[in-house]
Amino acid sequence: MKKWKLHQLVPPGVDGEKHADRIYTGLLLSLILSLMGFAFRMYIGWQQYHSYVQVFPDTRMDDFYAMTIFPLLYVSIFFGFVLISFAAVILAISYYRSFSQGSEALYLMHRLPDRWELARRCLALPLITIGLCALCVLLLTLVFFGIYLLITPNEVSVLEQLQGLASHMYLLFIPAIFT
Amino acid sequence: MLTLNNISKSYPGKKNAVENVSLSIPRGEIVGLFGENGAGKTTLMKCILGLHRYQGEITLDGQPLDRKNIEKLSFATSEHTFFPALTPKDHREFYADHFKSFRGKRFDALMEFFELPMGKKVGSFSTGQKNQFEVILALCQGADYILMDEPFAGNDVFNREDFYKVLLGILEPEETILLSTHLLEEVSAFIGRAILLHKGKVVADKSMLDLEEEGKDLMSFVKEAYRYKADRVLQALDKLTEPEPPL
Repeated sequence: MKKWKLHQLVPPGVDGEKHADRIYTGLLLSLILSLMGFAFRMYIGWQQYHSYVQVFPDTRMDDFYAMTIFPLLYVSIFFGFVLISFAAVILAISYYRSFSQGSEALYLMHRLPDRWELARRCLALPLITIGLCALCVLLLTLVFFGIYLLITPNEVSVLEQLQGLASHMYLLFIPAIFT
Repeated sequence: MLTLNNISKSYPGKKNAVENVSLSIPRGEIVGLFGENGAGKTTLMKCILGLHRYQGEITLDGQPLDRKNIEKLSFATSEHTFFPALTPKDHREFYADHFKSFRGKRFDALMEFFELPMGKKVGSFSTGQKNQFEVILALCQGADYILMDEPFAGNDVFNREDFYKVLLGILEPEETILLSTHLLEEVSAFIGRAILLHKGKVVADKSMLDLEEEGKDLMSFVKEAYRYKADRVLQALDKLTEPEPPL
C-alpha cells in the first residue's frame, strides 16, 4: 500500500503541516474541555447528591434528580468536537475552491490519470479530522459513562441508563442553550 | 487519431454552444481552430478533455476517452491550469508524479529558453510568463494531443514569435496540436489545417495545402467562410459621419 505524505493529502501549495497543527490543537482543546466539563459536573453532582441524601436519607435513588440519565447531566461536553467537525467540512469546501483561485487548476485535476487525486486532496485531511473526532467521542463516552456507572448508586438501573444514553446521546453534542 | 462524432453541448442559458460537430484529427497535424467569440471553440475543447458533459462520441485511437488514455491529451488555456502557489520546480515534480510520459528534459530546456525562474511561485509571474509556463506544461506533459486555447493572450509579438519557432522546432512527428486563437495571420505560416466554427457548428474545414492550391490565404478563407462584408465598415462610417439632419 502506498504511503502518503501529508503534502500529498492537501491541495498543492497548501501548508499541510500548519493545518494539521491547527487540527491537533483544536482536538486537544476539545478533549481538555470535555474532560474539564465532565469532571466539573461530576463534582457538582456528587456534592449535591451527598448533601441531599444527608438531609433526606430515605430518598429513593432513582427519584433523585442527580441520578437522571447520563446525557442530561453532561449536556454539550462534546460540543468542541462538533465545532471541529464542522470546521473540517468548511475546510473540505475551501480546499476544493482553492483549485479555482488564481487559476483553473481544477481542469488539470479533472484530467489526471489518477481519478482519486482531487478527492484525496480535498477530503483526506477533513475526513481524518472527523474520524479523529468520532474516535475521541467514542472513547470519551465509554470512559465517562464507565466512571459514571461506577460511582452511581447501585439502586440505579444500568439498563435504564444505557437506554437513556442511546435516546439522548445528541444532548452531549449540542450547546446547552438549545436544551 | 482523435475522432469527434456528432458532438453537441448546451448550457442552461445557451442552446447549442456546440452543435453536431464531427471531426477527425490524425496524429502529427497542427490544426488551427478559429471562430468569433462565443463560436464554441473553448466549449469544444473542454468537451474533448472531458471537462464538460456532452452528447455524441469522442474517441482516441478508437478507444473512448477515459482515465486510461486521458494523459494522451494536454491542455493550455489563457485561464491557466497551473497551481499559483507552487514554483515551476514543484510543478515539475507534480507532473512527473502524475504523467508517466512527462518530458523533464524538454521542460528544463524550455524553462531555460524563456528564462523563467525555477524557484519563484508561478502566481507571482507576469501574464506573459504565466502564459509561457502554461504552454510549457502542456508541451512537456508527454501528451500526443496538445490542445491550446488562446494560449498567447497577453503576450507581446516577439514573445509569440519566439514561441512559434520553438514549437515548430521541438514538436515530434507524433505530436498533434489543436490551437484555438484569433491571431490568424501569425499562425497561418505553421498550421496545416484550419477549422472554422460559427455559432457552435463547423462551417469550414480545409488543409492549408488546399488553400494554397486555390490561391487563397487563411484570412480570405475565413472572411469567405463567414461571408464577411468588406464594405460594412465603410457603410457604417458613412452613416456615422453623415451630417445631422436639421431639427
